[in-house]
Amino acid sequence: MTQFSMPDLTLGRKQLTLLGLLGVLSIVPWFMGAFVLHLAILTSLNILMVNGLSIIARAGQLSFGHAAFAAIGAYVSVLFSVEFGWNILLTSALGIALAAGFAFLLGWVILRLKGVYFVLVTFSFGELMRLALLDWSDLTGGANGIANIAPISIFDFAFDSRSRFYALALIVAILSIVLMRRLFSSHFGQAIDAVYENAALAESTGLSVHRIQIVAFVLGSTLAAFGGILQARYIGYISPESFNPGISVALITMLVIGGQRSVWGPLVGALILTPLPELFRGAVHTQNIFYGAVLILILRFLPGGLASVTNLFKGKEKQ
Amino acid sequence: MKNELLRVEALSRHFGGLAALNDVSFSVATGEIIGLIGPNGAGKTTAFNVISGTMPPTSGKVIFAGKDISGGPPSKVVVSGLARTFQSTSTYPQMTVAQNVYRGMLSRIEGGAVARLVDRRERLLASTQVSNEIDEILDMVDLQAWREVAAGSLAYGLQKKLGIAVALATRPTILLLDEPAAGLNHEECNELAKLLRQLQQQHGLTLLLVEHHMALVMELCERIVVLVQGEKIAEGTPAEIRENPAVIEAYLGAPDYAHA
Repeated sequence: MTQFSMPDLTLGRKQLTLLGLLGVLSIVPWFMGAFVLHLAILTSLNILMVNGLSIIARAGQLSFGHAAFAAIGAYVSVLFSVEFGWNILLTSALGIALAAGFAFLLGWVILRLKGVYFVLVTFSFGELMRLALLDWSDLTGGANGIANIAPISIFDFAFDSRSRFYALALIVAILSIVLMRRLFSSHFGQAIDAVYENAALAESTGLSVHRIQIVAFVLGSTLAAFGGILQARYIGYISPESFNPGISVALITMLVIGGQRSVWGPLVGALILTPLPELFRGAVHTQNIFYGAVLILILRFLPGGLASVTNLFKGKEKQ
Repeated sequence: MKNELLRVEALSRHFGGLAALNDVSFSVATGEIIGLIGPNGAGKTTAFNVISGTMPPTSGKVIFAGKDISGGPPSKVVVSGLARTFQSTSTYPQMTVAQNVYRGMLSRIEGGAVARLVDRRERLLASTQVSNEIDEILDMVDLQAWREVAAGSLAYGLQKKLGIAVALATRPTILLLDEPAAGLNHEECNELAKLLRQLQQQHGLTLLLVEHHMALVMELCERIVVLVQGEKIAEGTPAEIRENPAVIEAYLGAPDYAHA
């Protein structure tokens, strides 16, 4: 008789090898100049935000308003720092808390919707957020946005250069992956997967589908807010267009292409898709056609995303 | 009635102008096996859904262990001790039998952020404890041999059994079974009857069956409630029900109840 055990967090040899390669890859940007460093920072932030999106997706809902929560985090954090001169840690905490509050209220109302209806409402929420930020120009600067945002500085240590900020972004990205692994090997993570696989059965065994989806939505949106805050402090500029629904779609594309049901999916998706638009700036319009085609092909032939190709990443998760 | 566990009080459920369930009352005592029968369209499934909290009643109440549980949500009803199974099979097909049972236990052990704040019950059982409980439940339904097999690859009858196991994992005091015999062959049906009787006698479970299979109900149930067109037309022991003229008429006077 075998002992039942929770999903194993130890890594196999192949996984360790791949992680080692990733570790080397994550160090390389420091020696590759400003542009690569810039891409590496954006990739790290996208890993964080796509991880958030993935928590929501694993509970069975696809949020098209992910960028809106990044906007809430960014604008609240920046505005309170600019207007009241509050400490950045405080305003960041406030931005995250407000985004979580918004997610809770919105989630409470709309998480009863399923499938495409949820998608539509979250898309509308994203668009509403963009319009609100445009319209409320006294406070938000409207379409001009807010420029010259001070970089993050903690205890007089300012993350004001690319190489310094990359260190911060990398640590955050790694922590978010650790969080994901812990979450989805916990009882609560199992409950999230149960809700996704058979909501009626989960509900009938005492797992409140609504509660679990709300917690997942709040948690995921919180990561988006965190990403938004970091992005604002890195770029030094935010506008409503920094967080338009197109950004949400880009994050979803990363998740789907990377893999929706794997802890490693967001990492793979962000790693591949963040640099592409920056490298092919010359083909702005054709590249969207390319993404659309890839998205359809992945959904048709590889619903588990690229992370499911090898199963090297999945190790013991797959039986 | 002694040790009343579940009381259905003047329960009605309307769909537009149609009264799928009309002023139905009955109660279930602790440790009893009770059957809810009736021809197609009698309102059995509606009754089942309303009692388990899947849909709210139009009027009336469901009182379980002294508490009004009408209107659900199902997850809350389950946590209070009333579990249900599904008519067709309902499992997590890619998960093993053991993992399915584990997920059935989750509502008792899962330490979700919100739950931990509002619920004081002991949570986060140790892994060995989880494993022992899984064994215990698999032994109850005799699925131990299939422990590490993916649920989706089990035979239909075994999947239905697993459905019962997953419901048992919530540690209910009463189990509502939605047509447990549907789709089972004669042999599996006998085995099911044996299993259900065991659950009642050895584990003190109270059972409420909604069932088409007359032979099973007649053999197993101590009391039977008959619904016809949303109304209760009879209640009594199997012998009484068998002789009841209203019931016989409802079933077109068929003398052989086995496939009514």
